[in-house]
Amino acid sequence: MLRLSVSSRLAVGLFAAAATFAGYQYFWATRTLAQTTTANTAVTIMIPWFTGSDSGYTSLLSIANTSMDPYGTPATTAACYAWMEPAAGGAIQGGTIGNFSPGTITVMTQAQVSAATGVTLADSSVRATLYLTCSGPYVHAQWLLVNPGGPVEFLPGLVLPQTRQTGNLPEQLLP
Amino acid sequence: MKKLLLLLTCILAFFGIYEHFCAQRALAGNTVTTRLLLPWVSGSDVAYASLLTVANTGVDPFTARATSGTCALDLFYNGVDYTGSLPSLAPGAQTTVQPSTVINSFPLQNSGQRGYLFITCNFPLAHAQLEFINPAGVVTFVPAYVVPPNRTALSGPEQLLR
Repeated sequence: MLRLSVSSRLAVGLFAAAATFAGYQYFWATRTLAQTTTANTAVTIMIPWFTGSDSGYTSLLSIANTSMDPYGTPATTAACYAWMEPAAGGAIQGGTIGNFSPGTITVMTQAQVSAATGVTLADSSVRATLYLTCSGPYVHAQWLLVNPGGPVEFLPGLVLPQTRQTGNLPEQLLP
Repeated sequence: MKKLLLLLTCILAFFGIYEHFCAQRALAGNTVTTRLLLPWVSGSDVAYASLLTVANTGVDPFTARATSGTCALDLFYNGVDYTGSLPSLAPGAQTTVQPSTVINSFPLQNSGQRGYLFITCNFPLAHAQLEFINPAGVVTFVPAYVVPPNRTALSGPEQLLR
């Protein structure tokens, strides 16, 4: 059996302790990194209530490309595609709605969105679920309804998880 | 042999302490700053007005982290950053202000002009919303999204609450 002096045992003990500590830190650092550096390259937004317009109500879609921010995010133009699923049923249809510059908000009319998607909403009683997929991950959207007399109602879009199909995250205001 | 082991020990200990330090810094960074995004801020006119409310919700019945602090404002309009700030907010306090009074060179001249606003508070648990005052006094609310601390390496969606 190998016989070691006290100082050698102390050195071996210190080495083992340091190695364990370093390995532990490395393990958690790697796990944390894996959870936080998966960069999204696109965003999908759902607006669960999107109506037509008429003489009483005006339906609008607001799209903000917020990639210009004070945190150093690269400011990039985003191209967006919209789908509409009529509330009465039927096929979901989609089309390109345009490119959106960083640092800007664009307001589109319901007629413009309908023209892009091919889904007609005859009046404010007819509604659909609206989905947007944008090439930039920092796009946000909301639905604006201008009521009779002018009051504006805001309905914020829900940002969908990237893995919606697997159902591993809730789709609600609380992620 | 002993010298080699001691040298290795020193190297490993250094890296261990370094990583521990970095982890602590990252943890602290996640907890002391709140980043909020209001996707709609408009100017005001005779028909419509925008008011901004920021709350320091550090006092609660659960696990309060009562910390006073201030908030920096960055309003983006047509690709330009207009900066501003809010005065110190005590834990449990809210402040409601007209955006034009706290943002320098406020560019939104009327309710038809709009931008989005980042609110960066140096305390945890801040929340914000826009009160949109409509004709006849009807008020509608635009809640602020909570922005992840690592927005540049986005790990999850920016939602209304986290």
